Amino acid sequence: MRPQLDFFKYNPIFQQNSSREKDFDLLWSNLFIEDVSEFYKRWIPQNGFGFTENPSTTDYVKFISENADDDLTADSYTSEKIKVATKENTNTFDINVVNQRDMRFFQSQNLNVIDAIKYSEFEDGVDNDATRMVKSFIERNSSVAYNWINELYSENQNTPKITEGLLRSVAMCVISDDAPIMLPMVKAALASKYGEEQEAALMVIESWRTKECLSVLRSVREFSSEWMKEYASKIMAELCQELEQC
Amino acid sequence: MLIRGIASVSRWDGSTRVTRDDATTAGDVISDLRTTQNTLSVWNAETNDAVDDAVVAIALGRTSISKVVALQLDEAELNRMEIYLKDEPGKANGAIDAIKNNHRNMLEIDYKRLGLLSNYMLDLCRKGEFRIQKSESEVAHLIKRYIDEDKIKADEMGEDLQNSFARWIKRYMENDKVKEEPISGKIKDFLKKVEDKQNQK
Repeated sequence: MRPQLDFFKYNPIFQQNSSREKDFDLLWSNLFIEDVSEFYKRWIPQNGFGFTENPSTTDYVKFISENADDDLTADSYTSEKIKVATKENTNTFDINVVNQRDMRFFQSQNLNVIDAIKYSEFEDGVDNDATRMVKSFIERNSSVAYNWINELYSENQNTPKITEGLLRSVAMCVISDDAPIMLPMVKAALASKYGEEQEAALMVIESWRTKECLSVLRSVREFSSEWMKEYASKIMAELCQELEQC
Repeated sequence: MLIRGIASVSRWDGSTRVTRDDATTAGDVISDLRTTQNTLSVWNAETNDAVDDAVVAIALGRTSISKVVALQLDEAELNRMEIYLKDEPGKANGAIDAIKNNHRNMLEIDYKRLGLLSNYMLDLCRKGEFRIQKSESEVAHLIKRYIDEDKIKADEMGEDLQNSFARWIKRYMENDKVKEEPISGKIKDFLKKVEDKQNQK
């Protein structure tokens, strides 16, 4: 729930110009704080123009306030700019705070993602609610999203429908340059007795096409069916040719 | 022959089973035969080139480049099940009319026909020769060739598919083994347009 607009009456930054309300909305939509009381605790001015002691949140506010006096209009404030402000900040503490915040948000969505996977039809090459959710998380913060996917996979490793859905989402959303972080997950799925998991893992390999993928593929001893084995052999032949590894 | 795309290998390869004494076709298999207004989509394909057309048409109905798995159905067999067909242009975004017009619908599909059809398709899956399997790379190469041959208007493909295909082409161009193969001006123009669109966003 978004905080009440009364907040502006007591906040000097937002008092300056009513159009700051837009900034506030952007700020709020970028915080991913579920609990309003937590929002007030972290954001309400402590004394005059000072803010909470958390340097990360202070930097967010500084970014908004510094830009309030330049020639940017409220309309030109985009969530992308706020994201860039965060991205360009190389302070390790701040990066950790942002990553922890995003991880908390992703974790808060676990049940929604699992429901989306359960109730979505997975068809080769076709987006569904689950893949769109995973894609949006990766677009927001890829490295944290990859850790979150790993975590969700581990928590649901005995539920083939969920692991299949996660892997199919990975095949559609994760580019190969980022692959190593999730390779153990793919390897585990290839060792599964369930065809849907094996197929989803093969699709990830088919999409990533790296030497590491080829190595993992070569280590698979058993496939769920002859057809699956043919599919794997075809990918292996393609990768061998592309990577000159055979 | 008629080409019917299937959602995944694992649903049809026999590994999806129902564990009961009187089990028939598994529910997951039947769920891949989702009807729209009691019809099911197929593509006409009498030659190898027409099979490629059908594969491309199926790929163009998607949001990302991925493998295409399909089965070759015999119209005479369908007729024996009292399943009849009607020509109706397919939704293959960006494809020329000659490809879209190869589309047909199986009509009046009911509970009985779903059962008969799924059994027939499972039987074809067991006989490997009626399966069509194009890898992600093969599908992307086909789309690339069809754009070069003016059989696909790249900028009329779905936006998500355009982005996915552009990502594939970029990676293809970076690959040491294949980068010597020429990329046509049409594909370069397509890439530039996609990049411009992404930059505008």
